[in-house]
Parts: sequence; C-alpha cells; structure tokens
Amino acid sequence: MSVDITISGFAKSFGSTSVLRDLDLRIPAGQFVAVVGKSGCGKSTLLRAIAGLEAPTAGTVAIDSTPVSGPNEHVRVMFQDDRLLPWRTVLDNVALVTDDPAKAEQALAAVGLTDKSGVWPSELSGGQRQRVSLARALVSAPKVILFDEPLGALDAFTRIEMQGLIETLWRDQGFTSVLVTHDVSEAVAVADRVIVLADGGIALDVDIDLPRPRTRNQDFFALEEQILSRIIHQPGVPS
Amino acid sequence: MSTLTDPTAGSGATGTGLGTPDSARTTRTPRRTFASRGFVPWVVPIVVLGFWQAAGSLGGPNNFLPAPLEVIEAAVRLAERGSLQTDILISTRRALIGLVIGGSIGFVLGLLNGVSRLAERLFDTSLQMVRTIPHLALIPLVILWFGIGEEAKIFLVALGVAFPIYLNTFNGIKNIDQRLLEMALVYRIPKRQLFTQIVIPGAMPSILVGFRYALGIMWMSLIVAETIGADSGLGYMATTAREFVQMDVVVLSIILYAILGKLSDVIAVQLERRFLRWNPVFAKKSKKKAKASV
Repeated sequence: MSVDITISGFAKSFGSTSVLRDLDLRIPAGQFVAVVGKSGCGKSTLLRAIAGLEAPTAGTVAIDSTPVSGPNEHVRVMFQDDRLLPWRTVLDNVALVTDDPAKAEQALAAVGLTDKSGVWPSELSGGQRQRVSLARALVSAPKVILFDEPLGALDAFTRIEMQGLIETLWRDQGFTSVLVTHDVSEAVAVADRVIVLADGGIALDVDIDLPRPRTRNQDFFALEEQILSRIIHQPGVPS
Repeated sequence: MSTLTDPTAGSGATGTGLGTPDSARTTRTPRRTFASRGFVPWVVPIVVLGFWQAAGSLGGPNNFLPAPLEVIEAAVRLAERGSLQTDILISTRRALIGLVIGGSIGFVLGLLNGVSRLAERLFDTSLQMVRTIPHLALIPLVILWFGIGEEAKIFLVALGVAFPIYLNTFNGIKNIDQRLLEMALVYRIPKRQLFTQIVIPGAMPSILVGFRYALGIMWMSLIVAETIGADSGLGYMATTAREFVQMDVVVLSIILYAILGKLSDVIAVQLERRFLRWNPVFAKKSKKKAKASV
C-alpha cells in the first residue's frame, strides 16, 4: 500500500535567500523518484518539506491529498547519518518505533542483520548501521520512505549493495520513495524517474525505463550522461 | 579495584600503539609487560609506608608524625571502644542524607531547566550567581541558623553537591545530539518515551560526571562542617584528638577520609560502567577481559 505526493506552488526561502520557487511536482503512489542536483540546489529542503520538518514559504505539500503540517505517521525518513541511539542494542533501536517486538525482528531479518540484534550500534560498520536505520524505517510499514543521501558516507561496494537492498525492499513492499542523492549513477540504478533541481526549480524530469534488475549497459550510461550534462552545463548563472 | 585496571589498560594500549600496531592483533596471548602487572600501582604507596615505618622505629621526632603501626593501633583501640564505627556511621549517614537531598534538588532543577525554556530563563541566571559563592563561606551563617545540630552539616553537604549535579544534568540535556531529537520527531516518538529513552540516556554521561564530582564535594563539605562545629563524626574525632594531642588519631582520621573518598569514587566508576556500557570507551575494559578469558 502506498500513497501519492502532490507538491504545488512550492517555494522556500531562508531569510532573503530563495532556495526553491514555484515548484510543482506530482509523485504517483508507489513510484521511486530520485532528486539530484548540485549542493545547495534545494533537494534536501524539498525532502524535509515532504517529511514535515520544514514549512514551505509558499505553496503546499500534500500526501494522499492531505496537506502536510508536520511529521506524518505514514512517512519515514532515512537520514545521511544513521541516527541510531547508541545506548540501545540494534534490535531495541528498531523496536523503538513499534509496539510489536516480532515486527522489529522481521524488519531486522529483511535487512539481513538478525545475527547482530543484540550488539551495540558502535560495534557495527557504517553500512551495517545504515541497514539498521533502514530496518527502523521499514518496521512500521510506512507508505512513504524519504531517503536523504543515506548512502553518501559509504564506500562504493557497500553503496551498490545497499542500492540493491533498497530496490528489493521497495519492490516487495511498494512504498512511495523519494531519494535525494548527488550520485547520478545511483539515481539511474534505483529510480523510476529522475528529477534535476537547478536555479530554484525542476530543470529536468526524466523517466528511467530500464528493466530491473538494472545492469550498467549502453542505455544506462546514456541516461546517466544526459542527466549529468544537464547538472554540469547549466544554462544561465546559478544564483 | 578500578585503579588496578585503569592504568594497566591505558599503558598497554600505548605500548602496542607506539610499536607495531598489527602485532597486538596477531599475537595469540596478550603480552605481559611489567607495566601491566596488577601490583604496579601499589609499589609507591608500599615503599612510602615502609620508609615511614622505618623512620618511626628508628626514633625520629615522634611527635611530628606517628608511624603507620601506631596509627593502626589507634584504629584498633578506637574500634574496640566502638567509637570508630559510630563516628564513621554518623559521618556516612550525614554525607548520604545531604547527597540525596542536594542531589535530588540539583537533578530536578537540571532536568527542568534543560527541558523547559521558560524554566531556564527564570532560574538559570540566579543559580549561576549563587553557584559562584563558595558554599563553605556560609558556615558562620549556617551555625547561626542551625547551631551545630545535624541540619547544619546536612545543609552544607546538600548545598555543595547540588551545583555540580545541576550543572552537569543541565548541560547534558542541552548538548543532546539534535539529530537524534529530529529522528524522534520524524518517527513521532511519544513525549514520555522521548524523555526516558533519548533525553535521560543522552544526558547520562554528563550526569555521571556531575555525580562523581559531587561525591568529592560531599566529603569535603562534611569534613569541614564537622571540624568546625559538631559533637560526633569523623571531623569531631579529629578535632578532639587535636585538643588532646593524639597525633595517631589525627592521622587516622585523615587516612579514613582518603579511604571513604576512594570508596565513593569506586562506586561512581561502577555506576559509569553499568550505565555507559554501550559507550566504546567504557565497554573496552570489560571486552578485553572477555577476550582474555576465551
């Protein structure tokens, strides 16, 4: 089960700096959207607005046609850092957000960390910690998961492994996904649709019609190239 | 007990760190250097005691400092009379009552000001002002208020311990990782759970530092208070002994202070190990032991 996200007339400024202006975006239920762009293009701001962590300066964000006014029980965020509680064991971290311990164990099994359930987060590798964080996001069966560069700090091999895991879980559970990333290859590897943010708005919106599971072939690289060149060779001067 | 393991763990780590970092992982048995032996921290105290005893036996100026054996004799004498145990118990009781009262006040104020912006604005400046007054400077006033009764001593102890616990509880809460609080917001963790599962454990390392510091202040305040105005307790024992020039009892009381202080510190360290076992800094020692036993 999943829900759609509708963003209309969205604008956000911090003081006198305008980050996003008059942005319209509709994400159908169950779609996997990746948002890419240079640092400071507003991609994290957009994600935080969907999460209900930032109020828009103008316009609305609606999830399942209900306007977002704060954190929503159907929406979970996976952050760039794991944000696990260091004083709770792996299983207890996942169980923090559910009343059902059995569900926590299931979620941990889904990310392949059943054998680590009793250890402290400090004893895990960065990739394992992010998997626990993913299990915590999954445990309440959310309708939307927002990924805020969750793999940015991981090494290349772990990142590819995690992309596969996220893709598998998304196909299994069908939650609507928004992934913010600066890695275009990652965006093309997992998303149905890639959105490039530049100059306060959507500069490019492409569907990725590659069959899953994806291999890095000719078509893959062509799309990656198209998106990259749009980000790098921006017409006009960025404000 | 804790000091036995603390320096050994530290010096062992630097030893391998300076030399070959990999050898520590590849060697099957942990290297037993001289520095890692359990008795090493006790070498200096034992040597000093030996010299002290020898100087006393060889007939030094006896009224300057009694020999260790004389101090032990004094302890046995007082223990047989029962007054030693009574004095220790009375002092400990005063210390603990003061700690509970002052600690609770400091803890509650720290929590309140840490959580509520209004409470912080209302109370913090005043508390910071009062904090800068050395609490022992209030002794004349306290004696005028309470005489030399129990209240005077307990009041001074409570006043002394309240501030380190207040400050560290308050700072501990203020410095909680904002990212964890944001996570709690997104995951809609209920207020009550947020407090017990994130705020309190997050502030715990700081709270325990305050507690450990408060234990030191607790004994200091009590001893000063008992020395100045009391009719029982260890401070009183020392003051009376001074009047009768019982040098051995004076030295005994000083040694008892050291033992009680050390005992409190051991308890504080045990609490840190218990509450902060998730922290790699505190987990390391117990893990090393586990590895050694495997």
